[in-house]
Amino acid sequence: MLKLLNKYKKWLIIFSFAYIYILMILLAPTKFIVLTPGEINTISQNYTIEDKEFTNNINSVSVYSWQTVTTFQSWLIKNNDRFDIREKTEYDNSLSRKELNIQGNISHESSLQNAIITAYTYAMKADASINIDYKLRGFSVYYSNNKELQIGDQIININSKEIMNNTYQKYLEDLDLYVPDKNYFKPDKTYFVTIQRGNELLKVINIKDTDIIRYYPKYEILSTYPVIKTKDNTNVSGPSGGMIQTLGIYLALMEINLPNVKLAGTGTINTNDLFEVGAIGGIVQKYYTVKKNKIDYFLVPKSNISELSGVINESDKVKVIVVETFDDVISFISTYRSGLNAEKN
Amino acid sequence: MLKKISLTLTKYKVLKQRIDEKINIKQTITATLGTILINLVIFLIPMLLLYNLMIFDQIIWLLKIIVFVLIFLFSFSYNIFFVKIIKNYNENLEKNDFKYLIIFESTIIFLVLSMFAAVIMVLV
Repeated sequence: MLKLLNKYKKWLIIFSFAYIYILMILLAPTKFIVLTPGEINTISQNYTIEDKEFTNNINSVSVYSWQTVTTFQSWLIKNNDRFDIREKTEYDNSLSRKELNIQGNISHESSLQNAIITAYTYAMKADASINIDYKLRGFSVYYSNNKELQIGDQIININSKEIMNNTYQKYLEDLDLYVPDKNYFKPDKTYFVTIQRGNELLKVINIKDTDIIRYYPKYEILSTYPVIKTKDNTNVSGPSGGMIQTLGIYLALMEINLPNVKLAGTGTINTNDLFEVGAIGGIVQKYYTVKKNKIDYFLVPKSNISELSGVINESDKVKVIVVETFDDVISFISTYRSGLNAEKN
Repeated sequence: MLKKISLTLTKYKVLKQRIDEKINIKQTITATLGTILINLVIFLIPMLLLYNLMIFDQIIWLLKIIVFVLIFLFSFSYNIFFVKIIKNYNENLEKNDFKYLIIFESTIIFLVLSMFAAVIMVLV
């Protein structure tokens, strides 16, 4: 071995400098976070409904998030509009990988539940045999700068006020803590929350006016007819599939078939009176994902559409449908079906 | 085909026995560690380069194929360097042709590593 090393000593010294430099470029982490185009997942991967089938080709869209990119990667993707590259903020740096995973799971679970609630609520209007019974159990802590609160804690009540109905907006409005279209409690307020952490006993924590609490409403679905079960087989986290999951469940419940069409969509679904479709991140990367997967229609929240200007080409096969509420989604489906029927006739 | 495999296996056994007779355990360990080190130096940059390129979703399939090509090259390079170092220790082995030993062991290593890589690719 030493003989061999001695034989090539001169070359080894010369190359070691270049080698270490290349190694550093390929390994050294930067302060950037990158979103890249990802994949599509059919809604049937998320749910099963007793005696109903997910016959339609309806897909949620996910993007890949690179929490750490190397110097070489940042050079490669700079000025490439397929990628969203941004500097890590103080908030990003404050979260561990474990906390990021918990956050992803909280928002994803909330999205899966919201989709069930919304779809069943809409289906109940058309078919009296369909029903759902659910209860608002509180709020999952998504983020807080209060040292005593942890991501994933369950807020059971605020100021000892019991949760009496299923509308979290109403509950927070009564406490003057509701901020429309935002998922954090109104800042500059002092109050106390009762929390449950895993199986730990309830604990009361005082919230100061400087504290920020971001949350997702936590529902418990007590019963549904037909029975629906979540079976999340994907590695996807986050809330952005809410609206399209709702559509998938709704069409399965109503036994509506949309043959020979590939649909995809993105946007959160809010369980407020209007069932609004909320904004999501990485819309440009999602558009590229949809294009790559040869989708026919892509449903996009109205609040995100401006980000797609300059990205959509007229020659693209995919048609972008802008939606603001779930009613818009339903009316798109009705229009599409009328078009199909007109073609048949 | 079976005859060819059987012949390779026989030749492999003979060569393996010859190596085992001529070198001691210390030389084997040093040669193994040395080979791993050489291969690490050779393959670290290509592997890291591949990892860095994985950010491009359009070429992921191509990159996955290249991973298998690299595993193939690694398997053969490992055995080639191992034999080279062993020959360096023991001049009596210099005149032997270890082609069959390299082919046989490299194929086994390639198959094991490929299965391992395939499982990881499916899971991730």
